[in-house]
Amino acid sequence: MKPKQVTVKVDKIERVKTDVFLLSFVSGYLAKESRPGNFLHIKVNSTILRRPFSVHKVSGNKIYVLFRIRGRGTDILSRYKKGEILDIIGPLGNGFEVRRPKTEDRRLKTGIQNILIAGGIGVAPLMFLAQHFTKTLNTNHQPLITILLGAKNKKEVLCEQELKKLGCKVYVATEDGSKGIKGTVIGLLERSLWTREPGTQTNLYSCGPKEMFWNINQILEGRKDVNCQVSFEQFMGCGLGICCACTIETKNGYKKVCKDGPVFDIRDIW
Amino acid sequence: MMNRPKTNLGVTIGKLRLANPIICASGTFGFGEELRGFVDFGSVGAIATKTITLEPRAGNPPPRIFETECGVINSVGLENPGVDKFISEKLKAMREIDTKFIISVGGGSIFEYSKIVQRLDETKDVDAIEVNLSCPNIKNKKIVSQDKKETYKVVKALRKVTSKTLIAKITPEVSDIVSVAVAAQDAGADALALVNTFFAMAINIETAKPYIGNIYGGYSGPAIKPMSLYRVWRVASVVKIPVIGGGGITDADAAIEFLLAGATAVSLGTVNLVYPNKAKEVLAGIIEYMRRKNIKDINKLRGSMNV
Ligand SMILES: Cc1cc2nc3c(=O)[nH]c(=O)nc-3n(C[C@H](O)[C@H](O)[C@H](O)COP(=O)(O)OP(=O)(O)OC[C@H]3O[C@@H](n4cnc5c(N)ncnc54)[C@H](O)[C@@H]3O)c2cc1C
Ligand SMILES: Cc1cc2nc3c(=O)[nH]c(=O)nc-3n(C[C@H](O)[C@H](O)[C@H](O)COP(=O)(O)O)c2cc1C
Repeated sequence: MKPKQVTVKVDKIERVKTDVFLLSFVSGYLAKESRPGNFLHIKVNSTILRRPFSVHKVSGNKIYVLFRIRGRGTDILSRYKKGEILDIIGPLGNGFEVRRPKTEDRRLKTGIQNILIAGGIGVAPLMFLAQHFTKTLNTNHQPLITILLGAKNKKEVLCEQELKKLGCKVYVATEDGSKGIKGTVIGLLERSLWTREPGTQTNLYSCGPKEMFWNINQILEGRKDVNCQVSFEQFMGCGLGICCACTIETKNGYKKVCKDGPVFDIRDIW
Repeated sequence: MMNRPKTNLGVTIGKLRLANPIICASGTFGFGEELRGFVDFGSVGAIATKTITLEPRAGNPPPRIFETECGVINSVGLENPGVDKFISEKLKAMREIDTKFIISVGGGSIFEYSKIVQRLDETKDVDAIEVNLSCPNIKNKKIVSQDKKETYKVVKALRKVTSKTLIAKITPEVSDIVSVAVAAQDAGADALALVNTFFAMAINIETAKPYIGNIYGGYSGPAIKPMSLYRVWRVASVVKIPVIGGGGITDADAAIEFLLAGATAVSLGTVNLVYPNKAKEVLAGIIEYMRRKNIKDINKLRGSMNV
């Protein structure tokens, strides 16, 4: 993968929730080179630095970005119109490492469980991952992919229908209990881990707030049969690994989210 | 074919001869080699490397960068691999890039500064050395260039250990920047680089926490341009050695302002984080301006503000 600076035309920006928007544009290069967990560094008018956004999904030559309004940059981006130009550097970052069952290992093949855990807008990169899984891991074992969606309330739940259409098993947790279980994805995760067959190898992939990662890590204490990759956020400078601004603390010292990440093994963090 | 007189873009900084006056500022361009394939190095007069120190440094606690209304606060804290690793791992890859390199060095004491400059003086592939006397991001360390006597002492000591081009990078956070600049000149600096960042901070009012892990950092980007320009003008009007001017440059027009104010070369910093290839555009803009104003030699532009 080689990041490139490209200019694209906004194809569409649609509001999917009060403060969540879906941006799409055409870029053959980015569509071809992006892998699940990669991000794009987008220059928005009248901000100084670029803003990092995950690749949400890819369809043909079209790239989708799902974003929530957080501050000035995302607010301005949400007001872009069809045809306006965006300057993008990407794809960037390491991406998720997709662990495949070894075909010769039949026990493992039946005993693999992939769980995607999304806290709120954290579903953004996980859609692309789910897309990738459903495309490449074609087996009869249903359901192959479980996805846990956490949201404040029923209205805030993102991407549920689309993930179901992809063939994922979707569970929802809302803080107020207006949909799915009352509580957080942590509750859902505990259930999934209790109810699985013995001998199963579980791969967790997660994106969301840091406190959620912390809580996941608590559950994983001593569970060698479960591994977990998490996509981190940090305030970012260049995105290319040169300015050393977007570091996070890991067990092995500071690491750059833009270059060493954004995806980290949760056990390298705590 | 008509033989048009060529525009001269070359400038001289000490013993260093640059093909053009654009320098990518320390800390915003890595060691250059990371950007291979991404940047047209032909438009880059020189690269000032990220500041290196005698021992490796892990840098400051995150978050290390925050964008405010018109500028950027950073607190990287000189994360770098240390001089030995720099020489053994970085220098070779850098040499394959066709531009000049200014190695930026930092230190906590005259001893440390001298040791590292000595190391670099012995190293063949080093074109020039920039002493960072102005980093705001080292806890409990005074900024050398906030004190003209200290500045003199450090530069004097370094002048003794190297015959290579020695550039002193000074802070704008001082009541009389001219006296500091003169002290560096008198101590033997071949050139001056200014400005480094201004002290700054920002607070998240919801959490009541500072946005920067180290509480404060250095302010750069468009917001500081008028203040940097003023300081460059003040210093360049007095000193006899070349001034590398910068702070907030985002386009050719801004770069030309610094040249008019008396800078021999200009530095691009924060803008590189967003547009790594900005030097190319800035250089094209300078050339276009020179054509339009019928200026054949960039050195004629220097200090030609009309007052
Ligand atoms: C690798 C990566 C992928 C991301 N993917 C998505 C995504 O797909 N969808 C989405 O909605 N958001 C995503 N984010 C978060 C998104 O980048 C921020 O919400 C956005 O930068 C906020 O910009 P702003 O100008 O609106 O906010 P402001 O708070 O006004 O921004 C001020 C500064 O803080 C930075 N900043 C603020 N919040 C964050 C944050 N959470 N992470 C990083 N920088 C921040 C901004 O970049 C800017 O430099 C991602 C972040 C990272 C690091
Ligand atoms: C992320 C970042 C890192 C920096 N690191 C260094 C450094 O290591 N050494 C140094 O002398 N200056 C450093 N600087 C300061 C710049 O070299 C430059 O002097 C300053 O940012 C002002 O110019 P600008 O407004 O064009 O960025 C850094 C600036 C930024 C934004």
